[in-house]
Amino acid sequence: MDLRKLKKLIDLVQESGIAELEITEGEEKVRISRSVAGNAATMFAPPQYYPMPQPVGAPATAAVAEPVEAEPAQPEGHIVKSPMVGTVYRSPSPGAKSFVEVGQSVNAGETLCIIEAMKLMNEIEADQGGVIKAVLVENGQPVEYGEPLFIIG
Amino acid sequence: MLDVLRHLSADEFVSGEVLAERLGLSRATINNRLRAVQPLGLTVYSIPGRGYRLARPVSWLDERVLTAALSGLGFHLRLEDSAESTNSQLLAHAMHGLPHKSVLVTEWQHGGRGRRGRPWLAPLGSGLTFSLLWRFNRPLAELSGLSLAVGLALAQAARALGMAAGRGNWADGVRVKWPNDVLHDQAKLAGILIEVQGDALGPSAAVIGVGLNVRLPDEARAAIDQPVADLAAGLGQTPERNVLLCHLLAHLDRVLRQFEAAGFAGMRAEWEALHAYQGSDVRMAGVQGDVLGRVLGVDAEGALLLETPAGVRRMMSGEMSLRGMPF
Repeated sequence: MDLRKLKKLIDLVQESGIAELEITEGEEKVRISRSVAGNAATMFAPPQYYPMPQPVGAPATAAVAEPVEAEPAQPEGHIVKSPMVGTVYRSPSPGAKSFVEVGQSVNAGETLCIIEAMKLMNEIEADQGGVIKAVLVENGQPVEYGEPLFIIG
Repeated sequence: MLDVLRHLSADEFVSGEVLAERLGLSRATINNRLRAVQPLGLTVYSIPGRGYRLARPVSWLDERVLTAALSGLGFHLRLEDSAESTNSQLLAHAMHGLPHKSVLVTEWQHGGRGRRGRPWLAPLGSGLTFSLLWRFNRPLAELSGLSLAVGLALAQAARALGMAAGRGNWADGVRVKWPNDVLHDQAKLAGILIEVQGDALGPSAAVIGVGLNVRLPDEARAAIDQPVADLAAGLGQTPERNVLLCHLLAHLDRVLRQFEAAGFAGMRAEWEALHAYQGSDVRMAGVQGDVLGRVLGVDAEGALLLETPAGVRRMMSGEMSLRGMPF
C-alpha cells in the first residue's frame, strides 16, 4: 500500500471521527486507530503486517512503521488540501503580502496560496467561504499530495 | 489601437492625409494614435510633409490567416491588439467553459507575467505572446512534467526552423533548461508560464503562456536583466510571425497529445539530450536555501535528479544556475 493511500486513510479517519479503521488488501493489512478521548495520537500498521526483508545490519526498527503523532488539536472546520506535490507560496511574488492570514474572511473562489511544481503554478482557491482558522503551511514549504493547507471555519 | 500601424510600411512614407482617408479618421487622430504607440517599443519616423514610416518592418498578426491555418488542427484562435496578460484572460475564461485548444494571441501584452510576479517584457512586434488552453483527462497530480514537455516542444520547433549554434560549445544552439526555459547559446529565447486548474481526481486544465523573442530591438535587450536571445539572430533573418505562430502551435499540438497519452516518461530521453546543463555542476536556489550538485538528469515525472555529497536529491522546484556563472 503506498504512502498516499495511507495518508488518505488517515485523513479519512481523522475527518470522519471514527475510532478505528482496518483494511485488508491482499497480504497487507492496515489498522488505523484514533484515541477519541485524551491525547489524539494516530497509530497505524503494526509491523507484523509488513513481511519486508530486513536489510543486513540495519537496525531492527528500520522497517517498522513509526507511530505517527497527530497534529496538536486543530481548530474545527473545513480543511483545504493540496491537490498536487509541490512548493507552497503564500504570496503572489516574493516580498508581497500573503494572500491570506489567520482570522481573515474569505469568499469561495478567493486565492489562498500557490502551489508550484516544476513551474506548474496552481492557484489554490477557497472552495467555500468563511474565516481562516489555521494556516498549516509555511512559505516555501514542500507539500505532498493531499496535505492539509488551511482550515476554513 | 494598432489600426493605424497596420497601414504603415518600413519601405516608404505614407502621408497623414492618405492614412486619414483609408481609416476614416481625422489627421489629428492619426497623429495622436501614432504618438501613443511610441512608448510601446516601436519606432515610427514622422516627417512633416512626407508622413510616417516604420523604422523596421513588422509582420502583423492576421486573425483570418491564422484561423484558416489552424482550424484544421482543432485550435480556436483569437487575436487581440492588446491584453494585460493572455494567461490571466484565458484562465478566467477557462472557468466558464472555454473550449479545449483555445488560443489567445496578442500584439501588445502590457501586464505580462513571468513566474512569481516577474514581468515579461516584449516591445511591440518584437516577439510572440500567446496562451493556449489545453484540457487534460488526467488529474492535476499527473500533469507533472508538463512544463518540461512544453519547453521541449518549443525547442524542437526552433530547431526545426534551422537555428544555428553561434559558438562551438556543446551546450550552445537551442537547448532546454530545467524545468522549462528555452535557451539559444545559453541566453533566454522563450519563457513559459503554465497555470493549472482542476482537482486531485477529476480532469484538469492547463493554460500555457508562451513568450518568444522573434526580433528584439537593442534598446529592449538593454532593459532586460538577463542575457536574451532572439530567433532573428539565430536564423539570420526575421521569420514571418503568422507562419511562426502556426509552426509553434503545430509542435505544441504534437507534444501535448503525446503527453496526454503517455505523460512525460515517453519524452524524457529526448528532453535530456537537449538539456543545456546535463552533467553540469549547478546551484539550485530555493526559498529554503541552496542545493549544490551535479545534474544527473530528470525522472519520469520531470523532477531534476541532482547528485550531491549527501546522495541523489530529487528536486521539484528551484532556480538553477551553473556554478561560478552569474546567471
